[in-house]
Amino acid sequence: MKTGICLFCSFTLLLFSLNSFAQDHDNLISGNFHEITFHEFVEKVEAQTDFHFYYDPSQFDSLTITLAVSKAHLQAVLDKIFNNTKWHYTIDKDNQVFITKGFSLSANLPYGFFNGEKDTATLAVKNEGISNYINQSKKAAQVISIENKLFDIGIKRNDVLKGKVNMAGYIRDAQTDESVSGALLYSDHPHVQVNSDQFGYYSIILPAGRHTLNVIAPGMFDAMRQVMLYSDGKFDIEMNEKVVKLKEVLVEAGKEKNVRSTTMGMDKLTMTAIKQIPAVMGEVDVLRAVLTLPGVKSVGEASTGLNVRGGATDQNLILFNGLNIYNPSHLFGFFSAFDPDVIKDVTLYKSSVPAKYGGRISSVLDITSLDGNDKKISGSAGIGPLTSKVTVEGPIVNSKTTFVVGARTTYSDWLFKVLPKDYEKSGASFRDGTIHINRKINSKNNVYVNGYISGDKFNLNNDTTYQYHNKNANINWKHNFNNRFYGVLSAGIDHYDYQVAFNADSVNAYKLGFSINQYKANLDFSYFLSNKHTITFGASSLFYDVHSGSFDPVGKFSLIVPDTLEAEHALESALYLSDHYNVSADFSIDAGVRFSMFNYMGAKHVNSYAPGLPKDLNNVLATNYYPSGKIIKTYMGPEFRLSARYSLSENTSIKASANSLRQYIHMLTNTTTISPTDVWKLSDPNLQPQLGTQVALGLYKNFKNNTIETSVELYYKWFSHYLDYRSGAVLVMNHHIETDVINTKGRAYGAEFLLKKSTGKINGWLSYTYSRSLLQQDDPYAAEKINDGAEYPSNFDQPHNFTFIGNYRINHRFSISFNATYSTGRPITLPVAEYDYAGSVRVLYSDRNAYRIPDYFRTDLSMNLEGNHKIHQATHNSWTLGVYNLTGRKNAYSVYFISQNGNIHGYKLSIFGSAIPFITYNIRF
Amino acid sequence: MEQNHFSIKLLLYCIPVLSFAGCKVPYDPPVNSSKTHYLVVDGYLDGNGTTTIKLSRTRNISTRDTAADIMEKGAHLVIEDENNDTWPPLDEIGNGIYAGVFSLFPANRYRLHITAADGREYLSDFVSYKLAPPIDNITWDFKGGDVQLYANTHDPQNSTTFYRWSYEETWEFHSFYVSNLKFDPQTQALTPRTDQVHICWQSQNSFSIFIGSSAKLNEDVINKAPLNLISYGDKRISVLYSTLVTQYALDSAGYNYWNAMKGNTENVGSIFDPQPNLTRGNIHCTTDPSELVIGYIGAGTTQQQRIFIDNNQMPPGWNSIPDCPIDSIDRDSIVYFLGDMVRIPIDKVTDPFSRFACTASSRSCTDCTFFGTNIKPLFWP
Repeated sequence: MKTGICLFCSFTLLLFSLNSFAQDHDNLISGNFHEITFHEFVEKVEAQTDFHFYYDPSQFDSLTITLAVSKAHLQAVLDKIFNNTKWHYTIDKDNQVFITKGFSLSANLPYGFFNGEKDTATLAVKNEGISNYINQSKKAAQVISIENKLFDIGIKRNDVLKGKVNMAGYIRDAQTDESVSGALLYSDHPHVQVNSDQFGYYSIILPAGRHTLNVIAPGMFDAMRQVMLYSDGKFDIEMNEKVVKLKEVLVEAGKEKNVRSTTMGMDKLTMTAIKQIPAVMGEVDVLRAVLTLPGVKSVGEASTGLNVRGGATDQNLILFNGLNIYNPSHLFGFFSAFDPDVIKDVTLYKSSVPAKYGGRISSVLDITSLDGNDKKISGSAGIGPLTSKVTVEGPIVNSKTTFVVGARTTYSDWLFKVLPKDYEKSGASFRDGTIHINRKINSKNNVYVNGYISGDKFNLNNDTTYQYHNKNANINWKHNFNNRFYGVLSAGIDHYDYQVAFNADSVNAYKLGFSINQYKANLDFSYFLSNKHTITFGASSLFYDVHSGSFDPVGKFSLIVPDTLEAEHALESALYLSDHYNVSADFSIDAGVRFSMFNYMGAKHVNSYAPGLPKDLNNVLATNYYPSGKIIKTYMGPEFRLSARYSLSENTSIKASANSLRQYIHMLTNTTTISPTDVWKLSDPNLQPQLGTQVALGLYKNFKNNTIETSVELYYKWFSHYLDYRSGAVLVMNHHIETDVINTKGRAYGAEFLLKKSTGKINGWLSYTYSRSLLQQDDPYAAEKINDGAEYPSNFDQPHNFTFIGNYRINHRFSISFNATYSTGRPITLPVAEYDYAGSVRVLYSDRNAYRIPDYFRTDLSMNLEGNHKIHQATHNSWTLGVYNLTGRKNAYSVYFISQNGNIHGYKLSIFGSAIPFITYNIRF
Repeated sequence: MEQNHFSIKLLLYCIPVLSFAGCKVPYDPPVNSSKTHYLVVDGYLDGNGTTTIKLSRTRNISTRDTAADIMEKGAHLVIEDENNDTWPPLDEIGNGIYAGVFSLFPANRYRLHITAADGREYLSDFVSYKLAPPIDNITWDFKGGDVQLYANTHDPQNSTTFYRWSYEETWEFHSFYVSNLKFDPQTQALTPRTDQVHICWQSQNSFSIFIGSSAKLNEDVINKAPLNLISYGDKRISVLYSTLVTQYALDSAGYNYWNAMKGNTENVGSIFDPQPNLTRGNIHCTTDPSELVIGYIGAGTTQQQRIFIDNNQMPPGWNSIPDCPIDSIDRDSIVYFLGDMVRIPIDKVTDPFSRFACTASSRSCTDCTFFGTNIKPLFWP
C-alpha cells in the first residue's frame, strides 16, 4: 500500500508539472515547406521556436509535408498537417509537443480534479500514457480526451451548412475491437436516438453542423463525441469496457438506456456481469446467470431449463450466433453447454420479441460470441474441478480476418471412481467447441462463419448409456448497400441427436436413436429511412427433417425387433416487416408483423380420427399415405409485435407492449425437468401449433444521475395447445403420439420489480417478482381430464421470487460477489391416500400440483483475485474461489413417497445439499 | 499448498453432489388425506390353484408405521363369464381375504362381481384367460457384490408377451450361540433345554412389482428379467436361501396398470421423475361410476419354480460377526438377569465353586425363534 501512495504522489507531482493548454505568443512559425519529411519539418520548427517534439520517427516514414505559412500558430499548422489523419497532437505548458498515432493524449487536468472527486486512477492512466510515450512505448493508453476533439464528417465546406446528413459506422470496444451491439447513440439537440444492431452498426440522420453525440451501452463507459457534419460519412466510435483493471469508475451521466429504449422485457447480460455471479463449482454459467433475471425460473437446481414468465422450457428459442441450440445443457442439466470464455453477451427477450425472431412462444435467448481480437493473437485457459478449457482469438494473416476458437472438456469421470462401489460403473463426460470467423472483405461486405459442437455421454451405474450431441454451423454475409441500408443473408444447419444404448444382456441389447436436422436460410434487411423510421424486414425459411425415433438390436444375440418411426418433414417460412417509429422525442413505437406459414410434408402415413371423439386407435377413420414432398397440412397466421415508449420526464418513461407468437414444434416430455430422452415433434394434422399472446406494461425511472435504475413491469400472457399427456402415455417410439397427448391451455401473469446499480465500487441488482403460471385442460375430446378440467398450477408456478446480486470491488485486484435467492417452492403432486397392494403399502395420487415443495433459499459468495497488473508479462492469471450455497441449506429439489421393503417412506431430495467450496484458475495470454 | 488443500475439500463435497443418495433425507410433507376410503381389490383369478382376493380400503397416509388395514368384510364375491355363468361365491377366510378353488376354461373371458357389505356393486372388465408358460429357470449373479436374481422364460406360441412375477423367499439361519439351557419361569430355575432354538427358518413374500415384456422382441423370450436384489452380507444367505417364484401371464392392459403402479410408487426419487399419475384399473363401481376403485383383476394359470442358493457360493466374508457380547450370570441373580427373558442362558458354568451360574447373551444372539420358526419347512433339503 505504501508503494501505492508513493506512486500516486509521484504521478501527482508529474501532473502538476504539466498544465492545461498554454501557449507562448512568440512561438509563431513561418516558412515555405515543400515535400519535406516530418523529421525535417520538426527540425525547422524547433529551430524557429522553443517547442520540443516527442514522436516515434518510424511512424512518419511516409509522411511528406507541403505547406506555406506565415506567422502561424503551431496548432493551426499541425491542424492542417494532421487533419483527417490518424495522428493526434498534444501541447503542454512547457511547450512539449507529443505526436501520437491512433489516440490522443490529454494535457488537461481532468474534470473535478480540484473539487476532490476521486478520479486519481484516470490521472494515473493518462500520466502513464505520457510517460510510456516518452519512453517510446507503443502501448496504447486510455482515450479520454478524444471526447473533446471535434471530428469532421464528410467533405469539408466553408459555405453555410444546410440539410440533413447521414452518418453511419460501427461502435466497437477500444481494447478488443469487439462490436458493441445494442448501444444507444443519441443527440440532444435535436433529440435523435438510434441503437446499434447486432453487428455494432448504427446509422443516424442529423442536420448538418456541429453535434454532441452520447453513446451508452451496458458494461461500457459512456462515450461522447463532438462531430461536425458536412455531408454523409462514416464514423466509427470506440468505447471502453468497464473492467477491473487500472481504472476507476467515473461519475457518469447518461445511463438512460432502460428509460430511453422502446423494447421492454429485454435483459442484456455482458460476460463481465456474468462472471461476477458466483457459480456452481466455479463453472461460470450463462444460463444460470440468466436464471437470476426477474421473470426467469427453473424447476430445480439440476436443470438449466428456463421457464420464462410462466412458459415451458421448450418455448424458448435459444440462439448462439444465430445457431439454434436444441439441448443447451451438459451433465444431466447441471451446466449450460456454452463455453463462457467465447461469449460476449446474452440478451433475453421475454416480452417484446423483435419481428425477425419467431418459432417459439415464450422468449428468445440470443447469445453472442466474441468477434475475435484483431490486434494480436491472445487467449485464455481455465482449470476447474470439472472442466478445463482453452480459448484462442486473434487475426488471421491481417486484421481483416479474425477468429475465436474455444474448446472445453471435462474430466468428471474420475469423480465416479472414488465414489462408493454402487457408482463405480458410472461415468459422465462432456465437451464443446465453438468457432467464429469474421472476415471484413471491404467496407461494404463482411462475412461471418459460426460453428458449434457439443457432446455429452453418461451412464449412472446401470448398463444404459446416454449420449447427445448438438452440431450447428452457419454462414452470414452482410452487405452495406449504403450508409442507411444493409442486408444480411445467412444460411445454416442445426442438428441435435441422442442415443440410448442398453447392453446389460445380449438378448435385450438395443439402441434407441432420435435426431433432428434443420436447414435454414434468412434474409434480413435494415433500412434507416429517417431518424423517425428505421425499417427492418426480411424473410426466412426453415426445413425440418425429424427422425422421430429408431429402435434397433445390438449384437447378433439380440432379439429386438428393429422399429423406425417415419421421419417428419416440414417447411416453416416467414415474412416480416417492422418499423421503429420515433413519433417525437418523448414517444416512440416499434410495430411489426410477422406472417408465418408451416407446411407439414410427406412422405408420411397420417391417421385421421373421427371428429368429436377422443383420438384413440378405436376412432381411426383412415390412415392416409402422402408421398414425398406432398403438403399434408398447412398452418399459417400473422403474429403481431407492438411496443411503445412514452417519456414522462428525462428520467422516467412508461412502456407498453403486445406480442403474439406461434410455435410449430413441441417437446414431448412428462418429466418436470428437461431429460436427455425428450423427443421433439412437429405440428401435424392432429397436433395444432402452440399460440401465445402477451401484453405488458412497464414503468422505468432512474435516479442519481441514472446510476440507479428502477423498473416495474406487469404482464399477462395466455397460450393454447400446450401438450400434456394421458396417464401411462408412451412418448418414445410411439407411432401415434396424438393418442397419448392432451391439449392444454395456460395463462400466466406477474409483476416484476427491479432496482439496479450498474456502476460504482458496489454494484448489483435486487429484484422481486410475483408471478403465477396456471394450466387448464380444455380438450373437449380427452378421455380423461387432469384435475377434472379445473385450472391447476404449472410445475414452475413459484409466486414469490426475490434475488439479490451484489459485487463489491475492494481494490483493483480483489473483489467480492455475493448473491441471495429466495423463491416459493414449486408445485408438486403428493398422494392423498395409502393402500396395500402386491405385498407393499403404496400411495394414491389425485389432484395434480396441489402441494408445494419447501421454499428455496440460497446464498453464494465468491472472491476474484487478479494477478499483478504489469502490462509486460507473457500471461495474466486470476483465481476465483468461493462457496456455493453458503448456508448449506438442503434446498428441496423434490419431495416424494416411495414404497421400500413393504412400507412407504417420504423423502426430500436435494441436489446441492451442502456448502460447496470451489476454486478455479484462469490464465490469459 | 493452499490450492491442494482446497481441491481435496472440493472432492469430498462433490461426492454427495453426484451420488444424489447422499442428499436424500427422510421427510414427511404435510398432506391432507382424502376423506374417502376407496376400495382396493388385490388378487388374481387363478385357474389352476387357489383364487385369493383381498379387499381393503385406502387409508390416511402415515409414513412412520403402517396403520392397521381397513379390511372390507362381509362382501360377496362371484366370478362370472361372458355366457352369464356364475361360479359359487368365494369364502371369506378372515381379514378381508376371500378365497376359493375354481375350474376356469381358457376359451372364456372372466370377470369378478363384488357386492360390498354396504350394498355397492363393483364389476371388473372381462379379461382373457391367460396361460402362463413354464419358467425356464431362475438365475442369479453378482452385481456390484450384491446377489441379483433373474427370471427367464419363453413362450413357444408367442402368445404371452407380458409377464409378472412374485415370490416367497425362505431362508435358514442360525443363532450365534447354541443355547443348551432354559430359564423356567415357573420354577424360577435353569433347566436343560429340550427344544432347539439354534436353527430356524424365516419366510417373506415379495413386496415389489416385477414385470417383463417381450413386446419389442421378435420372439416371446424373457431373458434375465430382474427379480429381487440381495445386498452384500445379507443374513438371508447366511446358511441356505430359497425362493419360490410364481409367474403370471398378463394382458396388455394389465401390464400397463402394473407398470404405472410401479412407476408411481417404486421408481421415484430420480432427477428425471415423470409426473405421478392416476391410472385406473379394470374395476368399476356400477352403483356410482365416478367412484375410484384400485386394482386390476386378471385371470389365468400360474407357473412356479424354486431355487436354492447356498452360503458357500458367496464370497468369503459374506457373513459378518454379529455384536453378541456374552455375560456371566451370578448364581444369586438368575431371576434378576434372566427373569424378563431379554437374556437367554447359554451354558452352565461347570466349576461348582464359581460365583457364576451360567453364561448368557441377548435373545437375538441365542434364540432363533426370535426371528423365525424352528419348524423345518417341508420342502427344505
